Amino acid sequence: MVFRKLLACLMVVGTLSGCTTMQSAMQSVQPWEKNQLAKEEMQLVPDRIEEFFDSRVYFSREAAFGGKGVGGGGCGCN
Amino acid sequence: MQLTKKRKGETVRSLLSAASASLLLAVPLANAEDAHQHHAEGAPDQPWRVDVGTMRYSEKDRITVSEQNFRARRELGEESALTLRADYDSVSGASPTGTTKIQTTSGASGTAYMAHFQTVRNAVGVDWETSLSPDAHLTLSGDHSSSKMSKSSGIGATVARDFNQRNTTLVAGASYSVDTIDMDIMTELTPSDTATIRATSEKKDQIDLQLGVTQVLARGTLLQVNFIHSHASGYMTNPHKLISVVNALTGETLTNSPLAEKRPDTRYSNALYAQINHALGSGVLYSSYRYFQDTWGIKAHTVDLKYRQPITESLYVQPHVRVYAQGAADFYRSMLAVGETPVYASADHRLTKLQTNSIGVKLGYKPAFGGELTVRAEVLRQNGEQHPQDAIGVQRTADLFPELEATIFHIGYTKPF
Repeated sequence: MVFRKLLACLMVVGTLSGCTTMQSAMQSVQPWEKNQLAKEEMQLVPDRIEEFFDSRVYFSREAAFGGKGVGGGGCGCN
Repeated sequence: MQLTKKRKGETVRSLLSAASASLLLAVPLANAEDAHQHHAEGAPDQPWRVDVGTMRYSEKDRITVSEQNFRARRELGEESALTLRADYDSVSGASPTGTTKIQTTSGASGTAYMAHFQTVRNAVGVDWETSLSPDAHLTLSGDHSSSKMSKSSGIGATVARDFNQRNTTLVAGASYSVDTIDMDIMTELTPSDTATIRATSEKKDQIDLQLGVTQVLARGTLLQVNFIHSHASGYMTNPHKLISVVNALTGETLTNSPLAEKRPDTRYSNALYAQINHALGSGVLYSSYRYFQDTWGIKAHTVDLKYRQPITESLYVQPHVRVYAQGAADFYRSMLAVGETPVYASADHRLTKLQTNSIGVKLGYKPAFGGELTVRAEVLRQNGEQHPQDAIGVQRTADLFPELEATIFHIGYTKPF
């Protein structure tokens, strides 16, 4: 329970942190301002192998699945 | 004064060259891999990118999975790229069958609470990415996997279109897969003294549809929102899972128990996923949330947080926390009372109310010979209802959902060349 509350707090901090930067989103980020976004660590999936392994583990232990995209094939298992 | 002018001139030149470099880095954000390859690595002189990884997943007193994954991506000119993927995994150990923990009759084989098994699976896949126009990209994918008793094949297509100076990307995708199971299957929800075993090939089809948007919110903030709708139809029962039938008052198991489970043959599901990547100082905070619901009655929430913090220029640390909570499927039953004849019933733990908490840390290191080496360790704990309301008689004294504890250890290496 404490763990969940802590996580909820972290999510709020993360969201608020994102919201503070949204003011500047009212003006488009110019191409020459994207040096930070172009970095490897800012990509939506910075580590494909980690992403793949995690999806395999949680798919086999939980009922929910997907959300990040389509394709990739199934496993033939139920 | 001259010195000041010179410094100003250098500063301006420096800014101009940085701006020029950044212009080349105008990121089409729909396809992260594409963006990564074209821009983060400055790809033209490094058309290849290879990723290899090995993972060991170990559950306490249960199964162990050893998995190897390989990806190779090759730029084909400036307009397209081809990715080949391969995966091999082996699973061995004990897994819950779905039967009650307290066995009050001496049943035949298959009534054990846990069953040992061993299997290996091979999978291959290919992705082909190409530009449809300066602002639009198409990705086609194909996958196939097989194990001793099952096969799966799938195809997919995704189109991404950039708008608003590439600050907004809309994504639409669709995929189709067919899974088949070839094995001996016992008649579902039928007492073992009257059930028959059929050697059969059962099939399941699944269609996934995706609509998504990626939005640059600020110079260091990126938002992705995805909606995925899935429709699966066909055989979705797990032929390895059983459900106990007990005396309605005492909870004692019957001699012709357990039964083979049975699940509905259609499943519609929706997943809404949101992710924010936010640069915080020299680090990056990755936060995501997913809401999932389906026509089996399952509702689930997933929160995932990672924070990547550089320690030196070639080393970073990335702690990770994940919390997952799901409700039970409508047809989940920890056991059945004698005389009950439900249309569907499953005692598979994965379909009951449960929560998974994961915590881990990853280290990334860029060695002098190039590429990036990563090492990751995680601990996962899954808890459910140990004494569910539908437990009967003596079964109420048993722990019907023992805590699942597992560790994940993963080593990966990535190198463009």
